[in-house]
Amino acid sequence: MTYEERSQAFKARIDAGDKIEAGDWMPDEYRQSALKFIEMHANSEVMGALPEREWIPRAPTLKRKLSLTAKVQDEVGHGQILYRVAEDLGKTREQMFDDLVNGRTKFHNVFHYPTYTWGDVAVIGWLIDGAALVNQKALLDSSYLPYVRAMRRICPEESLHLRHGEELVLELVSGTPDQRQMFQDAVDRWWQPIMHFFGPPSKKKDMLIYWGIKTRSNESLRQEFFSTYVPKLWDLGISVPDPALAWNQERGEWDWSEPDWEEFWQVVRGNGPMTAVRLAYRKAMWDAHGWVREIFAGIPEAA
Amino acid sequence: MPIWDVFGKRKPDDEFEWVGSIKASDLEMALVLARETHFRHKEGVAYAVRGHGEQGLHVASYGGDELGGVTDRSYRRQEAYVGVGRKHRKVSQLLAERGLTIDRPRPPVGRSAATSRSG
Amino acid sequence: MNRSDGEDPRLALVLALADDELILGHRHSEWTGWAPHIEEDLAFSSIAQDEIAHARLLYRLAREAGLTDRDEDALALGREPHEYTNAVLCERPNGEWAYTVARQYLYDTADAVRLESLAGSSWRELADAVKVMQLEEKYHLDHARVWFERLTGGPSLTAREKFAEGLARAIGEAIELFEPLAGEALLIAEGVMERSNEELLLDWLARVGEELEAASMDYVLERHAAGVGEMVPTSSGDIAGGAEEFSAPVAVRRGGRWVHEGGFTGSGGRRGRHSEDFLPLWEEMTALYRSHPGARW
Repeated sequence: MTYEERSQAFKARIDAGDKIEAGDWMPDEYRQSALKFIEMHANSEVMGALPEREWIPRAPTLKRKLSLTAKVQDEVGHGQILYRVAEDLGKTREQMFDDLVNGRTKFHNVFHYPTYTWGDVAVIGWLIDGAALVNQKALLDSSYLPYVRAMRRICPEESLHLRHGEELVLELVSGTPDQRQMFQDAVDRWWQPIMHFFGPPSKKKDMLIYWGIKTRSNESLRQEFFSTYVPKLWDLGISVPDPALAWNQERGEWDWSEPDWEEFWQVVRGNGPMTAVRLAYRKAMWDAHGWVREIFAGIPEAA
Repeated sequence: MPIWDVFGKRKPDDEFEWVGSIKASDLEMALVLARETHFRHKEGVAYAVRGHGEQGLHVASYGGDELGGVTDRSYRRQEAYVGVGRKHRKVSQLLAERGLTIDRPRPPVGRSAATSRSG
Repeated sequence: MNRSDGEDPRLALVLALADDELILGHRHSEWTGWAPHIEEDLAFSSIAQDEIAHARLLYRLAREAGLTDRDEDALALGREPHEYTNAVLCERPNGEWAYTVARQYLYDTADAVRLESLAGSSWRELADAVKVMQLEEKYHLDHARVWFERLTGGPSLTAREKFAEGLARAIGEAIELFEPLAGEALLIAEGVMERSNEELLLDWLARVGEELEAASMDYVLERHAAGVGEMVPTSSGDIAGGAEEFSAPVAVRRGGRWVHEGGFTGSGGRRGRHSEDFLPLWEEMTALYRSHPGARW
């Protein structure tokens, strides 16, 4: 069989719902698409840890100090799982980290923004984790089986985080006027990054959907997010800074205002408000600890 | 850097099952690190590691209750958050009584949160 | 209305232990998300959570024993800086990974010695709490040992040097973990403490001395001894106070084992006197709690 023929047969398997294992033959395009996507997912987990870890030292109770530490620990754990999956597609973790801290690869926009208050911790813990969970549940149908296994491990942990986040929210909205305002302010600031999280309207030919690595469009995921979280926000008396956001009964979907896509592309290019600072921290840590990596590189095998 | 496969048992009578892998310099380090990577949520009562190309499992000395912590770790378990849904309804009700609910068009009650899979 | 928290020696004992665990746990938790190796990040975060959980256990114990009216959060996050009795070792910033693991090794070996002793306390509730903590501390010791061996025994000279520097910086303040408590005599008389801090320190120094010797690292103890008693710069670079401000016992080798000589002067943290690193830590740790008194989170 020629390469073309093998690729087409492979594509037919995917379209038929077959799953691909790490050791299977795969076209280069599939391997590269999967690797890039999973690498970005892994990067996002470890970069997502940075805004939240700022609040570990500042947590307002011992219980929350512990639960927030555990949550951030889990994000690192998700990164660990995902980097391992990506490594088996042909790029070392060391190379991926080096590319990340030197700005050569990407991570989700939403983690390029600053946190200012405990209200932000609650928004991240409930709404952003909620958005991530919508995405991650959809990935359970991915064609790449090692990635599916990773999602099967990650989704239950993410569900736990979500309920924790919801608990933080409930305390704020039922707390003092200051606390309510703290949460409302945070929602107002984070709404646009959350809208960006689901990405712009899907391209006509999305290679990730072509190869079955992603199975749902950005738009359907965004609609699911609205249906899950907006009524709950409104029940808590929390508004969303989009005057157009409303359920359209006729069309059976939510109307909403497009966010500023120019800002989206700026952040994708690495010009988010916290991008440079956060990468600089990571790079400083990475560069300073080369000696630790040497230890982990193990004893070289005899020639 | 060496990769180690990690295996765990959920119950003492189970067989060891593959749960994931870690990177560590050597066996002892692998045994120490595998514990919190794969068993901090009480996913097992015993675990083992195996280097690439090896046949046998190296079983860790930790087990039972030690895995996942002995002091109060409820904050990282599902059980601690079981009442959250109920609490949400209660808080929503209290806020409704204070006239704070935002009354804008929303999907009809009973419609599942997940939209259809198409699109 | 609080009881005069400073008076009861039992409270002083529990708070010293709890504050050590809280403040060190706070420092250790600062590595979560950016430790030098992902699986190590996970392990170290669990160690940090253990320490904070132990602090919580001990604060609750103090209240249940009627030694204080304050709840765990009021104790952990609501006291004034001079009321915290953690050892200065615990409040130092993490610095680089080498200092962090050096400190973890020294702290957890010291903690093992004092917990072994307290596990036999006549104060049953404390002994029970200690036995629970020991189950988790076992992992801390294994973790410390694995790093100790790889940093001192591996092919990397850089690693060995960095670890030695870390140990040398930490060891003087580690000795102050064993500063005798006010009212200690009473605690010993009642069997609440089976052994004095003096005895525990000797025991710990002997163990650490042996381990360092086996790794040809005992020179860090000698280097430390040479440094103390002089004008020692603080981590900010200033020269603080006179020699007596910095006096703690020094480790010296006598008759084939490591012992200490010299007395404590009360600036090790147990009397509420802290280094310049404590206030910024305290402000960051307690600001949100203190700015919303009575709020739920």
